[in-house]
Amino acid sequence: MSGTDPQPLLAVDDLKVSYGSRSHRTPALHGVSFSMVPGEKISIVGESGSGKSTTAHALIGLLPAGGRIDSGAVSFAGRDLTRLGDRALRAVRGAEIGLIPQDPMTSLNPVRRIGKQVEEALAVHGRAGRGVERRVLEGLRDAGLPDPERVAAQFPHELSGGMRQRVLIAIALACSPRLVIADEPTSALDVTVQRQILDHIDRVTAAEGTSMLLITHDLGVAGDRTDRIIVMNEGEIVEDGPADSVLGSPADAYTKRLLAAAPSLSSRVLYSGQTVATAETAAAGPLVSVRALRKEFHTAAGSHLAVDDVSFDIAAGETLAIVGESGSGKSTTARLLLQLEKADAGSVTLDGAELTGLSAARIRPHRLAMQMVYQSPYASLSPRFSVGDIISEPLRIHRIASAAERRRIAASLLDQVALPGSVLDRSPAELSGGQRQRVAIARALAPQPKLIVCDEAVSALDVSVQAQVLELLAEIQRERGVAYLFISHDLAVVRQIAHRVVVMRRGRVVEQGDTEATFAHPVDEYTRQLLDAIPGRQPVST
Amino acid sequence: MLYVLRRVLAAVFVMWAAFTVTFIILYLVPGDPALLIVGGDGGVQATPEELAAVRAEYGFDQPVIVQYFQALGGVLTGNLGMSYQMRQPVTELIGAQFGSTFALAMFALVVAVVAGLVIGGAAVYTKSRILSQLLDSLPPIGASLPTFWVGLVLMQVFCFQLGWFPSAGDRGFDSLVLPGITMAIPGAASIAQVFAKSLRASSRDDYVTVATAKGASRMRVFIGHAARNALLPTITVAGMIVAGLFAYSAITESIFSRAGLGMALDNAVQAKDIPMVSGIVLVIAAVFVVTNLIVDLVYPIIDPRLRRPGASKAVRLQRGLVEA
Repeated sequence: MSGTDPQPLLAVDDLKVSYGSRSHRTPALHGVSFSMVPGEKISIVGESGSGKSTTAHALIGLLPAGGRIDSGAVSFAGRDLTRLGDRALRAVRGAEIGLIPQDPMTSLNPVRRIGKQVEEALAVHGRAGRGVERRVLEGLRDAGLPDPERVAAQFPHELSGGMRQRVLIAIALACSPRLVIADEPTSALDVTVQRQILDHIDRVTAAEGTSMLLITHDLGVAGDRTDRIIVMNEGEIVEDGPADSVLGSPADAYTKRLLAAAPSLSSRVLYSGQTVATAETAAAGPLVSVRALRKEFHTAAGSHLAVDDVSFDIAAGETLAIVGESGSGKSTTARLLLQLEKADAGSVTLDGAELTGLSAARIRPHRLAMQMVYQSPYASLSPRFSVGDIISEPLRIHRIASAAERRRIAASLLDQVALPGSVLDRSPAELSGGQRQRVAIARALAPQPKLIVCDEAVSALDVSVQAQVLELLAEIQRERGVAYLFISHDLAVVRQIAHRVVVMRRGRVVEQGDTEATFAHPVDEYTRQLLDAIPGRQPVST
Repeated sequence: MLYVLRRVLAAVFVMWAAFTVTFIILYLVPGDPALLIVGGDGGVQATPEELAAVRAEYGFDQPVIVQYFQALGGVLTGNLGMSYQMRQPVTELIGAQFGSTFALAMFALVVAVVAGLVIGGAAVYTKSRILSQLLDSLPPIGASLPTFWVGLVLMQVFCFQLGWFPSAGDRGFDSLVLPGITMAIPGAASIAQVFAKSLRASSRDDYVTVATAKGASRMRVFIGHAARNALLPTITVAGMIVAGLFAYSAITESIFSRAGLGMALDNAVQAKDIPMVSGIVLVIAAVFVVTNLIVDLVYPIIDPRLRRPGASKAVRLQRGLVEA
């Protein structure tokens, strides 16, 4: 550790933070201490609830409503920020410590022009005198926006997520702060954009000698971008050391678990080498066959070809992944397959039966065979249903089994997804994110489907929970021979779970094949870019 | 441009629908309009010949569909028919009353908007929990006070005890103040409620955190970021209030003995003066349609996200008029 330096830039000493109302407070940080020297780059890594974001926000007095620093000190360049008055703290924010926020889509004021929002960062520190417009344009250009004059006159909704994050970087760096706090700056962005943005932050901070505190859930990002990693768990620092040693030979048990759970291009493959029904399928043909699907969306703004000539097969008991970035058409393809959306052209067959062109009533019986698990386990379970009702709803809709029988089925499904039978009568609100996703999987299994479509089904989960859910999916497949269509943007996850992969870009399939072979020897240039952009690509010894 | 055209067409459709519904309802109201016209005093017994003459004069002997299209044609050419009671064109009678109600409604609107924004804004901005709760409790109280009672109390205090304002009449600005405040209270309450609610929501938005992290002061963040976004839904509410101010002006106008549309409507209903009633209803519908049209057209100016093709649905989503 670098605590021996005579003059640390930032020294956090026994910081304790709690949330809640006056009478009932829940501690979030139990005494966090670390320090950093000028020019140092540190990552704070942890899962949700670890306190990493709370730490970042507490440093600059930006805790959300209900949050309070109970004790401890944050000395920055010799001053204790926790004891500064409002005015003095304002002089530090922006001018000496810049913040790059998490979600570029919501972090810019939607009704004000970009130029004005960058200018404000200068204006509040009295730097909006003559030449301010020139400085705003320079800032935007330095942030990697090629046409700053145009961007300055635009509104946030006219820019892509990556461009908005560049604007936010320009805002954070406008006053040349000595420290930049980057709070998950790229977790809302596609991998290729993520890489560009992180490269860019690296460049500008290196040029100015700016220190950086990077908050991230992604060990790969932490290892790639910073020299030192602090691992947090449940409001405490469990490990703090040079990136190489934390990732290479972790001392703490939690860090070890986190590393083991994080999917990377070298982690263990979960699917079974042989698909369960290989022998039968060879004779019977594929379970699902998608041919030349096409879908165009028409809006007043023009038409947009979302899915263009997409064809693939899914064998029984097999996992096929569709990977691609936002706007690639992967989710639309899944919706077309499930007949939730009508294709303009092409065909979808399930077990040899043609689904396209069927009336809603005639599709209904086929729906039992195709179930879905959604991305957000918070939005996809009705809060007014009990867990038992949620799981047995598909059976109820299709009038399968008696009420008592359905309850028994729900209980056995809970057992299959490794949840205790006691949750049957509970509300989903009482469950954690990972438990909810298990309930969603149990619901999908209820009608004994042949295909389950998982649309980013593990993307919203913390890595350790994600690893467990992936294991569960693989195990269910081994036991029941169900096929998965696994929609994901995360190539490392796909590599673990999918037998075969389809890479989509702008509505078209650019490459498809065996997952291992495709990832080892990508043929298409775009597939190669996607693989290169994965953080932690140079595998740290495992 | 397509957006503007669609909004205007929708406005025209609403006007036509309002006219048609009013026509049907008034046609179904029991009572022979010819009797009402002839026997205005009630005592005189009209002869069948007289009634027939009146029916022919007013076109009551025509089939209803013909009457409907005659009335519709009249509306399109600015002729709303003759008042049974006054024996004068309805257009002239309404024209004479409109100005007074318009002045009152606009004054009340300004009061409602200013008071609503100040109360709602202060409730969120203040750091004092007690003050915040106090200010939050004002809108529900304001919304539940009966207008006639508020009018009478204001009159008692400010006219009879303090003598600051006249208790009756419609001459000059002084006479506007008390009825204007009376009418403004329910509107101010809705605006304060919606503004405070939107402010609390926008204060939690990420761009507010970003602005604070720039080092901006609380006031600057509040006005430049939180309030600016919270104004959008508030404008929708203000637009709805305008039409209500015209429609419910009768109570206030009768308390403060002001001439105006509300009083005229009250009289016309009492006297079963059908052309007058339908004329005033039509004018109030027009006010409603025009204010909504203005709000629809102003919205994209305030919210740049809506300045794109196909934004019509988005505007209405934003305004909470349709479900996603």
